[in-house]
Amino acid sequence: MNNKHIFIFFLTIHFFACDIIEEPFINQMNQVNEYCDEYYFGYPNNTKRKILLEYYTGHQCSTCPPAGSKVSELLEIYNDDLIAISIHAGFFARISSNYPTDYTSEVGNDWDYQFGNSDDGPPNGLVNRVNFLNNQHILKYTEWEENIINQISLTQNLYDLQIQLNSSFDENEDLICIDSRIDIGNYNQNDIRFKIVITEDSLISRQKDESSPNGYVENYIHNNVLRKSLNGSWGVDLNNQKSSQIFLNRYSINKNYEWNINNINIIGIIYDIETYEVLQAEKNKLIN
Amino acid sequence: MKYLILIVFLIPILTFSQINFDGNISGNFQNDFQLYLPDKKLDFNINNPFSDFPEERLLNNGFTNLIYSSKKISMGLRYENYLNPLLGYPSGYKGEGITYRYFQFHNDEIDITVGNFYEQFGSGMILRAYEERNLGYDNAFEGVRMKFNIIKGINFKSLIGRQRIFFTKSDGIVRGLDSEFILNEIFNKLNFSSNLTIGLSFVSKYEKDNNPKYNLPENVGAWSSRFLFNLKNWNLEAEYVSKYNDPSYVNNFIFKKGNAILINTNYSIRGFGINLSAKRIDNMDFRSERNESLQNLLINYLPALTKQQTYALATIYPYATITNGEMGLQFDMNYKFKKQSFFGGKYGTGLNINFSNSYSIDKNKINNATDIGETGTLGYKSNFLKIGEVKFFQELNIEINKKISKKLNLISTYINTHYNSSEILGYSYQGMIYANIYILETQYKIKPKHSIRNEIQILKTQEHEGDWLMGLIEYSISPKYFFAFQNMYNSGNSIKKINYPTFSFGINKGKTRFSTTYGKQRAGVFCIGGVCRVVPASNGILLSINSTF
Repeated sequence: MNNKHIFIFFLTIHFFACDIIEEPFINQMNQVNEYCDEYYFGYPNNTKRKILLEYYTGHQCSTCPPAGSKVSELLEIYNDDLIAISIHAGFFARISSNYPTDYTSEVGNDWDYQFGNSDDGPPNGLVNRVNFLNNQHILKYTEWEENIINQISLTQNLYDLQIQLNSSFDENEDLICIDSRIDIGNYNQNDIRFKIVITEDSLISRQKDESSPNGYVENYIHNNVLRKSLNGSWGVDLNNQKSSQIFLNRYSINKNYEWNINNINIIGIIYDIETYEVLQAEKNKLIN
Repeated sequence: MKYLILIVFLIPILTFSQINFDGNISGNFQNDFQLYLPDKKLDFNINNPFSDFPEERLLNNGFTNLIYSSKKISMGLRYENYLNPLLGYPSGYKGEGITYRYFQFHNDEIDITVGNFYEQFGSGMILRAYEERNLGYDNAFEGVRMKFNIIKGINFKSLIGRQRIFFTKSDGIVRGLDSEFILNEIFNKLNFSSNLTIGLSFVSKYEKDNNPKYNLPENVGAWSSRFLFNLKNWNLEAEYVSKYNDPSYVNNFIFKKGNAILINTNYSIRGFGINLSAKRIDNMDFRSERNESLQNLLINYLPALTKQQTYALATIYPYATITNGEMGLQFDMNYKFKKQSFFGGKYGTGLNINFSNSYSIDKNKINNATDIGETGTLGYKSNFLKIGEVKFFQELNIEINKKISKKLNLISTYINTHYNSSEILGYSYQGMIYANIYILETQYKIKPKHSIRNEIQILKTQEHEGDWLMGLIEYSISPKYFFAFQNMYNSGNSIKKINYPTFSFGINKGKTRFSTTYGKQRAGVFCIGGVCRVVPASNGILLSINSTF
């Protein structure tokens, strides 16, 4: 192979970079398995706004365990007001022979790509994704509590946005069924989306830890781990929202063989399409 | 980032360290400072948030280029400062920094650029990265570009990079390949009497699909083919571009393929030149980020095919290319009546006639259940040769250039414009605007190096802001000084009849030019080659300095 052949090969590789999409062009979402029975919601008891803490970590991140401890501490203190999601993404979440469990997820990678947390160096996180547009959204774990307090004090569910979730598990079908009810309240600002994800607690595996004599903790407990999205990485539009409008969305998904059904949580999030700011969140244990 | 810049510069230097650095350093510098002043008639003041009056009062745009070049290498950088950007420039430019840096190595066979670069494939309808400083437009690539010359007459260009958007870069990655075959050079023994050049290009972009609603292509490809043929005084060139499915914000997320064709032919002999161009554009907005709009992150350039106007009143209704679909043509003829003829008189007479128009393309439903352009569908069907029902633009220009004596020269211009403001500007002005514009320019040499120039312009229209009048007088002492005064008056405005006077003064000293302008700026749309920006009304003093070294 002479230089000209190499050169022509080099040039022709360009031609493979093209995707041709066939119909359907619009993703079919929100389709629920026929085995899932519809749940009928009553009027919500609690309409307070909850704060979402998304923290980016990785099992090969030796400085991350203090951030994990901080999350546990914050959940103790702000129990009713705070929901946490742990996102394993980026370089420190890679698998290797000593760290073979893959905690990354497609939705987590997409969020990381958008918000840039792993590039910024974990541990870090977002509190309600505020300040994304002015690029001050990524917070060190030492800044989380102050921002959570700010969010709690600033927002007494200004728009009365409500999320209600109900979930069940069909052992015969290995099927998770989720019903959601969203009440727009008096919201009348930018367009918003609804997102629903699954997290899992009590996952035990090795975690790097700079404060440990070995440099790692063998049986570290990973909580709030983001596993899966049920409606794409960015959720579904709540189109043409009007005051007091109700959206009923139903989802189903087959249980992944790795998931422990007793440790699964369902989290619903409403966020602003333009600013990405989380306006309301709700969490349910899959099995209470 | 600093280390990256160092690496970009140092690695190629070390790689080609056998090269002698016997080149030279050149560059240029420009800074514009505008002090904004409150204006009652324009309602331009800090208390009116709709007037865009800047809190800073003094705004500044500037840049400095530094270039080192020798026989085989060149490298350079550009520092830009927008503290903060002048009114009318995109607010994204707020800030300062090194926005352009490159290293280039070239010899007879190969040319490699790393860092930033501008590029154009063919007419630019598939790829064009360029800078138009007056528009605040800069879609430069940052990446790698290679040019190869395998054998005489066959040239290849290959590039990969991300495009500039203000002080950051696109998330999308653009890859491109261009080939050009100059048949007369390849088969030089055949000694053709004509010249034929053929070109083929392929460009693709990658952008991650983060959209929950649509099943989007992450890699979008486009190809083009072109030729240039000339025979004696005739030239004929054409380019056809096709783009695969590229749903985006601008096309309302339809999955239809795009295409564009541009044909240009001209004939010229001494004293006579004629040019005829035609184009058809169908869904050809091509950007490296699908959610971008306005002039941001355009990969390609779709020419406007209208006369580039320079007279003030003729620029009030400029045409901006409608990238989702248009078809039009332009005819341009220059003729010089010979000296001593009936129309030529003692010194000859120049005549320029230019006619251009642009219409929508034919669009039909793909089926009864789907609206034209409905999101998440194939959008519409289009008959390639059929003209659409909506007229976007039409313009007739007649210009006569007559030298009366050794000292006096007259240029008279008539322009008739049909301007569909709702379609071109995307919002409802007054629908179709019909305007007639009459211009007389007089150039008179008082004595050697001293000349005076004036313009009288009249725009007549029943629509939009009504009639305008404009007068200019400019005195030049070449090559050092010029003084000018002009006034635009919106005489036909039924709400506010406003004068827009400006005074200008400039000095050239060696390679440095200093100028200042004081006066009012009308609100409007400012376009170059079909690419436009909106400028708000303002009042103030502009100081400008530029220098080359």
